[in-house]
Formats: sequence, C-alpha cells, structure tokens
Amino acid sequence: MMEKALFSANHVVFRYNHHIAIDDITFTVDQGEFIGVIGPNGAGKSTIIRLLAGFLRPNKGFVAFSGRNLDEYDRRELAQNIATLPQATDTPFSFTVEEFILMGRYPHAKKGFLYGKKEEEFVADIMETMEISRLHGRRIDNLSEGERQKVFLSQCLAQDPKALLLDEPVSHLDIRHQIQTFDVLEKLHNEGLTIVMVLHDLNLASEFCSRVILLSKGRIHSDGDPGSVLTFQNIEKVYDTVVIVKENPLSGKPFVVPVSKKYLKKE
Amino acid sequence: MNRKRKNAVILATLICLLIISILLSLGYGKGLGAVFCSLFTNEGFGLILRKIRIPRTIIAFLVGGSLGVCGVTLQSILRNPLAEPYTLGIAGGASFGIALSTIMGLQQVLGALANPLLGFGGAMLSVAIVFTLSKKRFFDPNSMILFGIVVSLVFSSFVFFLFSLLDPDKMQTTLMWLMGDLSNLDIAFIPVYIPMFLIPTSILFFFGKELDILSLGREKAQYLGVNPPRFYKGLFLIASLLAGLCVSASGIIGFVGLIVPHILRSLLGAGHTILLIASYIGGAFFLILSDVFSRYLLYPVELPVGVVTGILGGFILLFLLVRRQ
Amino acid sequence: MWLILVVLFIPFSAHSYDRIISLSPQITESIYLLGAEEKLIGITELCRRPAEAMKKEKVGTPLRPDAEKIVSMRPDIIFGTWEGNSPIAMARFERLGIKTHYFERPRTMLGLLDNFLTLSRMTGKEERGKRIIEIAQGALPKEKNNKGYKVLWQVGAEPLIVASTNSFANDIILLAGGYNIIESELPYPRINAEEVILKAPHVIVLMDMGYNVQLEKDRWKRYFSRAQFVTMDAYSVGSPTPMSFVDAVNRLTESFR
Repeated sequence: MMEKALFSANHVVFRYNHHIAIDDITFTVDQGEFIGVIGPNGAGKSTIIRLLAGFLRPNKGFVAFSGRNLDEYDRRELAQNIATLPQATDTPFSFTVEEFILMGRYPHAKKGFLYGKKEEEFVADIMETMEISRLHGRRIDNLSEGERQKVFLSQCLAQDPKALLLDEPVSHLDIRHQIQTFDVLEKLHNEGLTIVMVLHDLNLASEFCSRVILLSKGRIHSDGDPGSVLTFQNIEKVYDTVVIVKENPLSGKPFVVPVSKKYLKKE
Repeated sequence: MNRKRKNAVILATLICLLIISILLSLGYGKGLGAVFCSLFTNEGFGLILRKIRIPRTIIAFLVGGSLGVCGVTLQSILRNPLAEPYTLGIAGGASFGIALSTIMGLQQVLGALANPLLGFGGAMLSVAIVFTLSKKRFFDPNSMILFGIVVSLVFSSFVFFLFSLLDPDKMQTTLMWLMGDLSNLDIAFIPVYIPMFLIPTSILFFFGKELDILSLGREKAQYLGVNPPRFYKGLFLIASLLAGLCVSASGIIGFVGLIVPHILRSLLGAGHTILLIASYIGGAFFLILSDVFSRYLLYPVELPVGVVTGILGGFILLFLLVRRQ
Repeated sequence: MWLILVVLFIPFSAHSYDRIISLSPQITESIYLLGAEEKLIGITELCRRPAEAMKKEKVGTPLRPDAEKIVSMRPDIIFGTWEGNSPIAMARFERLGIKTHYFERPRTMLGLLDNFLTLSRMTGKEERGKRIIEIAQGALPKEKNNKGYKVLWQVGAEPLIVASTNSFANDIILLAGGYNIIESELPYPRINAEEVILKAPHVIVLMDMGYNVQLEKDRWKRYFSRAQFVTMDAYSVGSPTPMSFVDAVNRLTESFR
C-alpha cells in the first residue's frame, strides 16, 4: 500500500489564526487516481490543495509525497513532480502564450539566461496536445476565458508532473469549456497522470472522478466512489439543503438535483 | 522566429541610439573631430572633455541604466507596471540625509563625500524600515507600496521641518538635489562608482526567468519552483541598493525607471531577460539624452536633469496613455 | 544732540520715526551705521550684525515675523524689503494700522545709496547719512583698472550658481574694473561649468555662504592654476551697507594686482 501512495496526509491539522480549517485529516492518494474534492464553502477544500502542494504547512501532522515529508523537498524538486493550479493567478504583464507556458519548464530547465531549444519544443508539443497551437503569439490578457484556462493548464503540464492539483479550474467556464477541460483531463488521467481537483459542481465530479472526497467543516465526511459518496443523505447532511439524486442517463453515475423550496411539501 | 528577429532589431536600434547619445554628449557644439583631436590636450576643450563631459556621460550611463533595470525589477516584485525605483520610499529618506548633511555643515568635515554618503545613508534607512515592515506581511505588494509611501512622506515632512530652520540660501543644495543633478560628482569618485553600480546590475541580469515567474504572484511562483521569500528579499535589497546609489550620486531623477521599462515592454513583450538588458540600454540612452538637453538647451544656464526627465517623460507617458484608448 | 534731534524731528515729523522695527538684516545694519539704534525697538533672529544688535528684542524671522509681539510693541513703522519679507505678512500689519515701508533690493550701487539715503531720512539722520555716502563714494578706487580682469562670482556650489551680469554683485565687479564672465538675463543662474572653463577667469570670488570654500578652491585650482581667489561674506551681496559695499569693491581691486 505504501509504495503505491503518491500523497499521504497524516492527522493533519491546520489553523488560520484561531479558526481551525482542517481538523485532523488522514487520507492517501494513490498513483493514477482522479480525485474530486467537494464540500460546502469554508469546508477546507482549498486548504487541502495548498497543504498537498506544500504552500501551507500543517500545524500538526504531516504531508508526504512519494514517501518523503514535503518539508524535505526543495521548491524546485517539488515543482518537478507536482503542478498546482490555484484559484487565481496574477497576470499583470502581457506575456505571450509561449512565454507563459515556457515558465512551466523552469523546474527542469538548466540555469542560464534563456530557455533552450529543447524547452521550446516541449512547449510546442504541449500546445499541440491541448489544441492551442493557433494561439501562438497571442498575449495572455487577450484571450477568452476558455483559451486562458487551457493556457494555464498547459503551463502546469509543461512541468511534466507526476501529479496535478487543481483548485476550482472550471467554476467560471461555460459548459462547453467545462466539458472540454474535463475531456483533456480524462485523457491525461488515462495516460497515467494523478489528479486531485477541488470543484463545486457535484455532477462533474460524479461523472469524471473515480473517487470523491466530501469535506465538511474541516473533516472528511465521506470518501469513496461517486456512487457511495453522492447519496442524498450525505449531501443533505453536509450541505444542509434538500436534494434528489437521480441517475445520469448516459453513464449511470449519480446525478444530483437541488430541490427548491417551492417543491417541498408543506409541513 | 519572427518575434526573435524583431527583438534583435529593436535591441540593435537601442544600442545605436545609445551610441549616438554618447557621441552627442561628448561632442555637442564642437563636432566629433574636435573630440578626438582634443582628447589629450591640456587646454580649453580637452580639459572640458576630460574633466566634465566624459565623467558626466559615464555617470549618466551608470545611473540611467541602473534606474531602468531597477524599475523592471520592482515592477515584477510588486506586480505593477507603474512601479518605479522610488516607489518603496527611498526618495524621502535620501533627501532627509542630504538636508541633515547641509544643516550639520558636514561638507566642512567630510568634503565632497558628505552629501553622497548621507544621501545613501538616508536612502538605506528608509529601505531598512520598509523592508522590516514588509517582511511581516510576506512582501505583499499592496502593503509594500503603502509602507513606501508612508515612510517617504514621514521623511519628507522631516525635511520640510529642517527647511524651516535653515537660512534660505542653505536650502539650495537640498532643493537642487531633489530635482536631480548630474553635475556634482567629484571625478575622483568615478572609479569607485563604476564597480559599485555594475556589480548589483549584473546580478539582476541573471534573474530574468525568476522575475517572470514572480510576477505571477507568491502562490503560483512557489508552485513553479521559485522560492518567493528568498527572492523577494534578495531582489528587493539589490534593487534598493542600486536605487540608493543612483540617488546618492545624482539626486532624485524621476520617470526614467518608469517610462523606459513601460515602453520597452510594449515593444519587446514581457519576457524579463530581454527586458532587463533593453531597459539598461534604454535607460542609459534616455538619461544621457536628457542630460544633453539640460546642459545645452539654455546654455550657459543649466537645468536640473530631473526636471528634463520629468517633462520629457511626463509627456511621453501621457501620450502613450491617451493613445491606448 | 537731543536738541538737534528735536529740531530735526519737528519739521520732518511726517518723514522720521522713533519706534522702528526692522525685518531685514541689511536695514538693521544700516540703522546702526546711521547711529539711529536707539530708535530700533525690534529686529529679526537673522539680524546678526553688528554684534551689539544681538541685544535688541527679537520679533521672529524675516519670513515669519511674530505678529502679536510686534503689535504689542506699538511701533511707528516696520521696515522690510520686497525680496526678504513676506508681502502677506506686511499687508497684515498695514491692516492692523501699523505703517510699513518697503525697500527695493538694490540692483546697482546707486540703488543701494538711494535706499540708504531714504533710510537716513526716515530715521532722522539725514545729515549723517549723506556724510557716510560721501565717505563711501570717496573710498572707491580712483583709477578704474581697465585691464579687463575676468571675474567669476560664485554664489553657490552643488549646484554651481553664480552672480551674472544682471545681478547686484556685478556692480561690485564693474566698479572694481573687472568684467563678469557670465552673461545672463537671470541674476543668479545655475550654470554649466564648461562655460567657466571656456572663459578662464582671472579671479574667482567665493562666498562664505554655506558651501565649503576650501573645497571649491581646490576644485577650481585643478583647472586654473593661476587664478586668484577672493572670499566675500554673504552680507556683502545679500545685505550690503554702503561701507561693506565699498569694502568689497576694494578687496576685489586688490586681487587684480
């Protein structure tokens, strides 16, 4: 079991000032998994990603990657293995798409003034895979939301990581781009990439993730395949709202329908 | 490929402009022939060349280039294309140092060293304060800018307080120095200044890639393998050191560190490695040219060079901003 | 002495004042020169000459006179200069019913003497004033040395500020028989050192005005090994009396030899 685990969190506690955001969490992420982390606002989802990525250090417990405590890695080494896409990235300068994605090669690139030809070719390949070669030469502040997201994702992939951590990567995209993004992720997953993703949309999680972790108030409420986690009992308990769980007509996976007040029987 | 070619052409043009400005600075009014003939003579123009024009051109080159590079660095750290070398408060501290030096009559004691030394000391004092405050906020850009403004304001208030105590004549030095002045450098200092300027600048050239990544914010930079606290501290200190040197050598010369990176970024793209080199050349060119204006526009009356860069730079910036929409 | 004063006072009661406040160092010094110091009831912090003047009551600085104190002293008149004093402050005194009189900052020696004469009338010392003017004019160098000695009059260092042909100091140079190498519309321009080197002055006047005189001497000596140096104090240009003016002229003439 230990050999296959890529990430392991062990009795992790994390406090923001006096507020306990993560309250004693233990779980492992095996190689090749595609995990969706869901839960209400403030449940600790982003915090989990940041802890796994090494941006935050636990107050108690520890996080390990490939058997070693995250503390023992230096930043560069960590970046060679884990690529993280946070919720927001500052882009005050109009880098071109290639320049931007090239930054993802930094952890692997040799020290020097410029990135080498090898790195540039690597980037060109990724752009082809992500179908954004036509964006060559465009500035990143001059792209549509969907194109922008692909570029950000490409930058992560340029790191050639073993694991990809994503914090709500599709929440602001239209359904077309949401599906597109997930299709790409699924392809990468099938090629062996381990993915841990925080998301709001329960149905996307149900559809694409092999494993779903439901967080509530800093603790893991349920952890397992979508069928066992996405039950109306779990969801109503954690989200404090009435839902109906149906079956997705195409995949058979659970499909969650929130219930508005007007449909509730008068007590 | 096309962009690389374009960038190469732009860089080549910049270098040409720089060379032209240097020749102008050395030979204005006399022609290039005179420059070469008189270089080693002991009278008139030869004297002027060796004792005034050459040292001045050297300093304008060093200061202008450093201001350009400093501007680029701070813009990346603060993630703000409008940042410039004085954003973090050194202007107030440096002018405080100069005012102190004047009031205490330190020139009588330390000679020509007094003003540059105290100016630099004052600048470093304000840097130390801003640094200590910023550290507690993990070098968050908005906090840093705020601290810089406040520290500079406080020091400036002290300066005005000192002004009110001084005889009006004694204020001249501080005032003129606040407007930027390339004429005051003792030639003896130049051999010392050259390495002092070039070493920090060369160090900054090496961090183009990291500056790219740091502009994405603390979190993302860390995820890409750059250790933000270490780099913020190091780059902040080197950039501040450089800015402090500029200010101690020539007073407060504004706009160079803002305009040059700004224009070059729109021409060359945001990649910091090229931007750093181009901003050095562009900054040196802009300042040398401004100095030529300040020296000869109203000859023999000389304008403070900071006024020239301010007016020239101000108009250029306005023009660019208006053109944008 | 008293009788004379009384006699002088009666016919000229419209022109002479007994309780005088001086808001300008040069006026203070001139009043002492005229022997009218008993009439002086208040001076500024910057009035340091002559030494006895320091004992007089202080009423603030030229730019910030202490209005309350001045009003409480009930002066007959306040003397000031256009350049040295704040017109707003002076206007305020007028509104409070206190007479004020402005002297123009002199551009030439004639202007200086004219001011001095007016001052002597207003302090009731016209005779003495006239006598001093005569002495001063008599003390000027008899023969103008027409060898055209080139003079640089340095008023400030870092940056280099000089007194041009349009300044008061220029008159001193002319009367001494030299000529000012810096021509400009502005009286005290900041100039490009190249012009100095080009014109190669024979005499460089440095002023004891807050910059390091020795340092400047050493700097200029590097370019002009044979130049003569004269050090004047700031008062001779900023707050001149006829005597200090003539003194300056003579010192300059000395250096031409």
